[in-house]
Amino acid sequence: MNPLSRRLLPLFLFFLTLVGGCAGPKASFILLPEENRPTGEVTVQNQKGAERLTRPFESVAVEGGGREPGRPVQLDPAAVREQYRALLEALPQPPVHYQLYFEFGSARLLRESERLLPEIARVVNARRPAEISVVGHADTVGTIEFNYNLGLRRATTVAEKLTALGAAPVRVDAASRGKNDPQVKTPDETAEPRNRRAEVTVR
Amino acid sequence: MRRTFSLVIALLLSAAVAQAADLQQVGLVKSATGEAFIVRDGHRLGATPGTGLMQGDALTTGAHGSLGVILRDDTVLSLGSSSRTSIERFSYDPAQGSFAMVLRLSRGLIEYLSGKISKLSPGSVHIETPVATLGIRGTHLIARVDP
Repeated sequence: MNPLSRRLLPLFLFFLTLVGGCAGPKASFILLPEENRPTGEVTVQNQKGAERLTRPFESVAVEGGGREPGRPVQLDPAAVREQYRALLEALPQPPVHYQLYFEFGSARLLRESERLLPEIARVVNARRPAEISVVGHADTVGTIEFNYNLGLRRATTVAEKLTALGAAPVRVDAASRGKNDPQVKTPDETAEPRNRRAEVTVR
Repeated sequence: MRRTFSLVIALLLSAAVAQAADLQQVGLVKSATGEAFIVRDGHRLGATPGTGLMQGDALTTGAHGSLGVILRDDTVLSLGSSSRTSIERFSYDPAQGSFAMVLRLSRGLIEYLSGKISKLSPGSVHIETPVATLGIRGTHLIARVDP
């Protein structure tokens, strides 16, 4: 190496760092498997191009603002779990769902459904701070208005019973979909036990 | 009358103060460690478990912080340390068929496990980062932005 290039080398490296630093933020994305569901799909897109992630533990990196997404690479599941352990542990448990059923034209719960309430109340308190959402539904016998009100009575009944059983959520939502969102599609004015229901979500 | 009325049963809850503003809540802080904050309208609030989230909120964590949150459509999120994610848009109204979610990860780490918006309206969920946007069908993922 001649003396001149020896003197220029640090300068060159300095500029290289500067250019590298100007590249700005970088990003990477990893598709993870889902329990009880087929893995979904993620498209990574910017002005320069797009790549798709379709397999668990596939990853795409984008090395800077003006750079196209890199080709997907397959990562080692154990290495991903180890590297991102704190993040994975911070993920809350997914919500729990229950379906409760009612007598015809009434906000009285069927006995089997009534029996589920203590368990739901227990789950609410085990997941504190928890939110409860109850959506009431009706079958198609009667007017839209009647069934809207019936669905709402069903939802509020469930919410009241859960709090009476000691469930202490930070928030309760009770809503009605009346006869607009049946579990089983039927013609109008059809009695259908499976549509006389309330969906409870504990978050 | 295809509307769904949503009602907050304030009277049921002696412990919680349910207000009209609750109807705009898009989620809930489930867990927090270290420095964890919500930036809302330019003010920084502590992100303690039980705090409600609104559209427009930014979630931030410090060097030893982490956050776990759950959104109203059952989406579950966690933030790693030194991270910032904002809820740019959130609309979940099955009665009106209105579904949208845009999250913006400015820095750090996020884990995302999809909820109902993604299921009922595939293509309505986006995660934006400074260098690329994610279009999501399903699913479960980690996104990372390094400065």
